[in-house]
Amino acid sequence: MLISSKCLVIFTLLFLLTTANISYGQIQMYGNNYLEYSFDSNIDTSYFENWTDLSLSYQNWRIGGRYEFHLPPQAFSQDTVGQGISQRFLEYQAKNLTFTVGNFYSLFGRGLVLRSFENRMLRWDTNIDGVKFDYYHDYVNFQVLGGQPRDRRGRRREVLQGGILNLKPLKFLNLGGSFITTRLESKGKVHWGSTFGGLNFDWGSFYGEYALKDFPPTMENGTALYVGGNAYYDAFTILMEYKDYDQFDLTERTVNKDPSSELTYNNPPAVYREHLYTLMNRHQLVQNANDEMGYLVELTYSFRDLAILTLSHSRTENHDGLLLYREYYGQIEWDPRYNLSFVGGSGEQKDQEARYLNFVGTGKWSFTDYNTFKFILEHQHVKIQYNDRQFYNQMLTLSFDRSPTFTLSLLTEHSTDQETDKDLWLGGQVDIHFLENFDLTIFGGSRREGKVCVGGICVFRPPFEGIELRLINRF
Amino acid sequence: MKLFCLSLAIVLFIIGPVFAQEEEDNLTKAPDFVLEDLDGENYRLSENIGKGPIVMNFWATWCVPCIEELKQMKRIYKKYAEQDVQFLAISIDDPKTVARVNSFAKSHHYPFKVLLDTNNEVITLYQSKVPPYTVIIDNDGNVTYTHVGYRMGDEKKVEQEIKKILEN
Repeated sequence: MLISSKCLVIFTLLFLLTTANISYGQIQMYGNNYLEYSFDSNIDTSYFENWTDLSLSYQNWRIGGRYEFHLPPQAFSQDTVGQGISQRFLEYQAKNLTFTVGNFYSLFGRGLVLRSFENRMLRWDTNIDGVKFDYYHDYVNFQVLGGQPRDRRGRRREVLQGGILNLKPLKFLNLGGSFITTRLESKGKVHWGSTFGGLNFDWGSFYGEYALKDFPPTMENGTALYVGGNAYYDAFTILMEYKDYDQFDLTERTVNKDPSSELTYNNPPAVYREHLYTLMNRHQLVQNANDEMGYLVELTYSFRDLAILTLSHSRTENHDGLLLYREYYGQIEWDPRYNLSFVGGSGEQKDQEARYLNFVGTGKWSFTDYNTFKFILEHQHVKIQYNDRQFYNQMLTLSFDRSPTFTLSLLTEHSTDQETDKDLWLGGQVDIHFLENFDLTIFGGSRREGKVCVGGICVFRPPFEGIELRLINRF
Repeated sequence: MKLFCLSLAIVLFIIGPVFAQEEEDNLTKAPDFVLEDLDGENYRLSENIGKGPIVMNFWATWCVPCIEELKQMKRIYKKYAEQDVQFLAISIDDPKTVARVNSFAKSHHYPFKVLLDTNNEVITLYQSKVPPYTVIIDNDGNVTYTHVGYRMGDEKKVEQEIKKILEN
């Protein structure tokens, strides 16, 4: 029996806590609950997961924790079946400093050296269990930390120690450095760090960071360079980014008895345009910071508040000059009236497997103050490189919004790919907002398998047919 | 048993808040935070409480409903800018996309202060994970309104909350 009476008691207690609005004198309670349930009829399996975050604050102190259960976790997740308190912390905050003991997240610079974070959609959580001290001032910010990071199976690894210092000697200039030291099971004691600098002017801003790692043997030492800049002139803006990552994937892949367990310490900028359109998102580059260099250039022209034109190009190669990913993309956002808007885009993505030609369009018409129709149309032509096989993928989403209470959506995908079992996926979704702080989403139908990517981190989500429910509340 | 437990849990979650709503007046204090703005300067919430209502809108450059909502926020900003209403557009773009926040804000002519919550620590502090997320804070530092997501028309509730605070 996956859900026992013990689970029921715990769940009920959590419920009582999450629905109570406690505020006694200066003691404040904050929290949120995230519940996901799904039943996949293809494999006759149900998934049931829940995360409850609670914190209490009193004057300068804050104490909190997280209770979560996975009974079982989603198929694409690396979490294991189980339940329990997964996080707890105590925090003290004064005027210019914050001191944390327990679980926390951290980011150094642009993530070349350290990025500990959670992305629930990807089931990614690399929180650190230890101590952290932050200091903020107009001319200097710094952070020092020490603790054990969580790997993808939820286990704690060797203690890491590190810090970041950011100096702001002039209004337009900041300079700094960051450093991490730890012991890897596969390599012994290792260090890595970076120096960075930024400039801010009325007409633009720039950021650069250079990182080095010192891993035994010496041949595995690596470097990472990231430079990004914006400039603005009248209605024009330009964004440019450059990356050169050489042996800088700070992921430990092997550990004692479970080689599938991974821990990634960093998450450098991917340097390509990130798409939320499903078909384009499925074919974005999976980052490999061991051997990657490339750039992104994006130009924007704004026609007052009426329309915005965006042109974007990005390219990533390995150090032998082999093309890993290339994209050209153009988009126009047009708002002819306050209650009517359109977005049209087209682009080409190319990776080592295939070339993808994409056309996307969205439209929104608010026919009263509270009622809106929307559509999203995606069309993709795919040409597989090695055998010239060609096919189309298409998606259409139609939805009706009634502010602030609900959205009804119809989602369809069609493919002419002969190598898939199905050619049509159909689903319906309702999103309901109720009782001020509750949001419920119910999906029923089928969904195609594919990669879901956020910032170069991708997970493969298997095909789904069934019912999915998600309930989020804050208190 | 499994089905019973699930059903009960869902029913509890749905009916429970009805009773919790009786404590509507029991407002929570807005947790303090420090974030950098686009010029690299620190912004501290506690130093700005009491100077007028604060509307915080968490957004991201890749978030379509956020961009729709910020268009409406621009309109509301223009309407209330002279009445000491403070608007904060807090970008939760991560290190992958944070480079485009500056040019994005310029090209969309955002007139309000844009802050960077690059590791999503402040949106988490305010009990959400996803944008768009709107939080309104009154002159006493109480959170009077929170809302996740955006549907055309939601901005009218934001305006109502602002008016309510200004009238008090």
